[in-house]
Amino acid sequence: MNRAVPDVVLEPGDADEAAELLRGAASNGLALLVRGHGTRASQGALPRDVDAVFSTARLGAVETYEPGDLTLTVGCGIGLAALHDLLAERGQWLPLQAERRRGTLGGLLATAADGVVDLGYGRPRDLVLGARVALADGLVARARGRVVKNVAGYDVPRLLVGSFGTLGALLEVSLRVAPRPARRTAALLGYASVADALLAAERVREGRDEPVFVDVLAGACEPQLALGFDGSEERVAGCRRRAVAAAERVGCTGLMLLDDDASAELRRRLDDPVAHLLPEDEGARPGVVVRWSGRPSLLGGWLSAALAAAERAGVAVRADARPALGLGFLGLTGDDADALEATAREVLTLGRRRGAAVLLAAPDTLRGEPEDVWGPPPADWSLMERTAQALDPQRVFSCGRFVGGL
Amino acid sequence: MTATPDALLASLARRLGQDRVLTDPSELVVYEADGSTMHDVTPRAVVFPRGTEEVAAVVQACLANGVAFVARGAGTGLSGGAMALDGGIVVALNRMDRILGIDVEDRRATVEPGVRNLAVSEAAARHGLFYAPDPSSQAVCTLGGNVAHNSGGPHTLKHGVTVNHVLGVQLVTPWGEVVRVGGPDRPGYDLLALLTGAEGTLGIVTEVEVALRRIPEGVRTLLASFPDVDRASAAVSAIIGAGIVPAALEMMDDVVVGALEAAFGFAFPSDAGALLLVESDGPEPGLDREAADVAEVCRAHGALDVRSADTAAERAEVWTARKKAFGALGRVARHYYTQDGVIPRTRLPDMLRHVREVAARHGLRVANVFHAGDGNLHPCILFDEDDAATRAKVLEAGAEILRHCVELGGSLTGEHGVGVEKREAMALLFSESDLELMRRLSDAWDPAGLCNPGKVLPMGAGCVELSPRARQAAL
Amino acid sequence: MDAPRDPAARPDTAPTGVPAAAPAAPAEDASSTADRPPLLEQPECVHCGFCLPACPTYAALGTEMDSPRGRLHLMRALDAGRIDATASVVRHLDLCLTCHACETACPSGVPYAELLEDTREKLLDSLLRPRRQRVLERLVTWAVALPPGVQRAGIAALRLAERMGLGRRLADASRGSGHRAVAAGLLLGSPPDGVVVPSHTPAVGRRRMRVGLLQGCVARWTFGRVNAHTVRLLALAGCDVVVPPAQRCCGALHLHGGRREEARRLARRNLAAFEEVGELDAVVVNAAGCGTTLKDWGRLLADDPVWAERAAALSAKTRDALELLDELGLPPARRPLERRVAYHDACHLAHGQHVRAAPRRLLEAIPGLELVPLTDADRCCGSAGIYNLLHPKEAQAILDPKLARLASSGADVVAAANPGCLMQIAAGARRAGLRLETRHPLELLGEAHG
Repeated sequence: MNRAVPDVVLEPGDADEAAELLRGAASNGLALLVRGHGTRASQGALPRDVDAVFSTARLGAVETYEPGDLTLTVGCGIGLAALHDLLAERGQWLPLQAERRRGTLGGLLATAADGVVDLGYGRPRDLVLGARVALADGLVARARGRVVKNVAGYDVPRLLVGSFGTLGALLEVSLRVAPRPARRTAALLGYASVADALLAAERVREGRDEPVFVDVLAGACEPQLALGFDGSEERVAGCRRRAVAAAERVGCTGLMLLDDDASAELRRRLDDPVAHLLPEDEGARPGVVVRWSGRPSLLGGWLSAALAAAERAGVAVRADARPALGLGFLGLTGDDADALEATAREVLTLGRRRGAAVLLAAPDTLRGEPEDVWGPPPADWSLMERTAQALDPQRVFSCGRFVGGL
Repeated sequence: MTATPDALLASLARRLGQDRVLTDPSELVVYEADGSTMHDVTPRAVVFPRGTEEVAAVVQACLANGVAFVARGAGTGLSGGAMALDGGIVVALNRMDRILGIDVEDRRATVEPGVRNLAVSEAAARHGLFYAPDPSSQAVCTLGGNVAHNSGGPHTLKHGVTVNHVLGVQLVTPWGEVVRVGGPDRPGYDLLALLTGAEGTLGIVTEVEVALRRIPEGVRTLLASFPDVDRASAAVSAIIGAGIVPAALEMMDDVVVGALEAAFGFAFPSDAGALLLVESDGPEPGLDREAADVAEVCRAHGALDVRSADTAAERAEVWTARKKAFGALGRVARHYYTQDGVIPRTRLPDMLRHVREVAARHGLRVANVFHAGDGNLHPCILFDEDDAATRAKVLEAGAEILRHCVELGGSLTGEHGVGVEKREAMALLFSESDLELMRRLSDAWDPAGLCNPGKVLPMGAGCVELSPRARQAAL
Repeated sequence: MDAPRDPAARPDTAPTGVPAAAPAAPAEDASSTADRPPLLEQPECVHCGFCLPACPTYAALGTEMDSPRGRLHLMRALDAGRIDATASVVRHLDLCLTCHACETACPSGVPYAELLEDTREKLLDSLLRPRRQRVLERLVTWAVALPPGVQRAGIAALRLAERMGLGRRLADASRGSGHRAVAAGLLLGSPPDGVVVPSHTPAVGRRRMRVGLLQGCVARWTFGRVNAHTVRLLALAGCDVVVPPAQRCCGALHLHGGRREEARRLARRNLAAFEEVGELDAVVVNAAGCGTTLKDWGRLLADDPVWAERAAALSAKTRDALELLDELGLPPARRPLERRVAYHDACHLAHGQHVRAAPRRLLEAIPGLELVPLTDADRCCGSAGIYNLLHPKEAQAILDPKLARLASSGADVVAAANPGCLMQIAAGARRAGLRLETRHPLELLGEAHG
């Protein structure tokens, strides 16, 4: 089932080389797969056989970094560790999976990865200002720019964020970065039930304390509500106090206030849903992570139905729900591959009734068909196809990993 | 342009009724320009569809007859984006102005494209919610136009622009199909990002779903006056440098201050060469401290005076003045030409100096009112004589200012859009390859080339189909 | 009109600016203020569009030719000879209510109403207008301008017109349009209320002022009770009240219609009538539309060598009755009024004279009276002089949202300081089955001080 990863790797060192390699590949009719460090290679449907990998690993140069402008232009092959260190030196950060050190910036953007503080700072699409991209025929082009506000021309950079490399390769991006907040704190509250934890999350959302994350955690331990606050000492102390008080009123069973290292540890844990819900320390058991997105008001319904389905099937389950964003992640693990697969399918089906449910991680047996991973093509599928046709008419980058087999 | 009933107009009149199809040249003249009067083209007709189906019918009729079409809301655009070029018709959506629903629990509103920006916040206010993007024309401009231009506003510094708040749209495609384009969270390409800011060249939005936010608990509004724009610019950099991200950070120069005094009777310090309007919002805890920090930074950078607007009424007054600043310039000049260049924030002093030099060289006056926190400038070139020679001079000065924005690593437009106005200037900012990429998208989405043609991408042929006055100016 | 447009002269909306907590730096350093550009005397429209949402006809019709920006565009195009004065152009210009709301909204200070007057003057008696509208407008402006004694004769003439068939159509058109009372009053000569005010009323207690009252050409027949309340309240506030006997119609309708020469004639006649009664400290008007006109005479006669100064002097001392009563102060009201009152801003009071707070303050001071908030209170009701006679369909479309707002306000009384608004809203409310009493604020005040 596992398709071979080709030996041929096209690894340009700059945009010109990228253009040249792509032109060469195109003239030979090669099918390509875009890759950075390959840490997210198991996301999406199983790729069709491709002829070569187009690697961005050598495209990691920092083009411009103006701390005073809060903008950074950098090659997409830069490792996340290097990126975060670079910004930290100037008291700044990129609040996208800021705790994660594996993988490249390009991979983070191409998969539109979810980070723990997205609620406070925005999703990957919200922080991308401009990009230089390479299309399959070797056309290298910039779109938008490196200033924080810009409506000149089509927003190609955002179009490529989350496109899994199927429209073209991101070579370089300009990002909006932020000053590192003076304090980053958190709180963990325990609840008797998931419903209580969700209700507490709702109470916090009704308040005006601007938490940077509100996560409902379930499965591995008693249901918990995790809250995060960033800002000045006065801001985080006051907001946490009020938010915790609101959340406590929903029959809270326990409270931990987390500062400094403890807060950082919690954020590290929640930053990458896949790592969080399929912990490696529990051995290499096969696992599935489902991501649900939709209206916040529908999240609770899906979550409780999904947890019940897992319980019925005797499959171990962990969940991390972000009600304020209308997002939910469910991790399923178990040695019985059939039960695991059946539960995963049930959870996906439940999620797709009202909302979208995709597989973030799954054994290959579940990743064979794009529709299994992504669900049926959405209502605007024809527009997506048209867009792919415009940028990659030969479908060089459409390796079948993405929605509708793109 | 005569009102001879050609096949298209006849079919539109049949479909919509004669009273919703304007063809009288003396009426069409009103639709020759939007908020910018530098360019004007009289449309072939103006139609007023009601609802998605009728918009689709209009688009299909246009396709069948090979006639171009362009959507128009309140006509407040500043780049000529709503002008019907190529003998096209205007599809007026201002009567499609129903708020279809406000979902309090999920914090979103669904509206027709003709709903005014401010009307959304007004309707949401009783639920403690608001729609964050707040262009200065928010009392007038419509959501459809906001989506087309990815409109910003003073508070986008903290709260983001339109694209950060659109959750879904109903689109009539350039080939006349009706498609619901899903939110950024449904699996697939981020088509909303492509459509938002595409200036109506990739279809007509007939319904918009937008995110609403909780109204911030507290607001602190400071008005600091400085002897000159250089010192005010330095204060802007210092505020951001101190790690403060205000909700809004706006600058106005002395020309604007004079106009505002005339328009609203404000008493600003008489020796103020620049005003900085700084607003912080968010939870009460720490908010006073943030405002105090801002005030301190301003004083340290030579502020003559720092005042705070403490009551809601005072804040409303300050913001009314700021948002009507463009219009108030009508008190000091008969005409103005607004630029919308963006530069990296740290280059503000350099850029403002350049603007002054350009104006002096051309013997023109310039007023500056802009989003300093974003580095989004709005130099307004003022002029009184509306003759060809003056217009040519004004356009040239504008072009010089834009060139310098690009040289400093900035952009031609932060929120007003390229439209027809900056179409040819796109070649300053983008290489042929860059434009080729955009053309591929445009060609794929608008194969007939009838969906708001002549906007965004350069034609390479100089001024096409502009008004006689603009044509003269270009000669 | 210059005076009220100058923000410094706005009596109760003068912005305080941002709090003047910190004293402004000394003004002698004029080096930087010198850079501030001089203001234009006649600002031009810069096309910003802020007037669009303020305009009742744009809201009702949704076409830009029926918006202030669009009309300015049409007028400019006419002037430049780019378009001809076609029937549709004339119609779009005629459809303006001259409510002045766009002038309040306009950041540039474009003197819209004045420009429209210019254009309407040029298009005076244009045959491009429908005959019915033309004849009706001519007849009404003629009839109202007659001396009171002759007005009855004029009314007889209108009766004749009615017999010729015009009147029935007039009555048809005005049925339900709110001006039925005007139409009836004018055409059939039946003054509905019959209250007449004395030509001189002394102040109660110490005399603080000597004021002259404008009675109103229509109001003197149909709203005599409002005049009576006005006189009594002014006296209570310490005014000797004189009602100049030779006064006539103020010419508001003529001015709006572009009949400037007739408006000037009436202004001069009235100036003489008011001068004839001796020195006055103020001229008091209780109908918003007339008040705006009196305040505008200075501009209207600015080029008249004989009358310019005298007109300016009278304009400067003209006060709306509510404005003056608020300034002078009334003794506490004796009789409580347990009513829920919505205050509708007459356009010519709010937008024309910038009087907004004074009437509300006076009403709120009445014991027992609850002033309920009214959304879009300063949005035109569609009365606009004789607009509802000339353009009944549009007037109704403009009235409908007003009635909806009133219905949802929960008020049982709507107070408006202009006879036209009162008749328009009353007729609309009757038709819509709304239980809503329409009163002039002076009536409510008068009752409370009864």
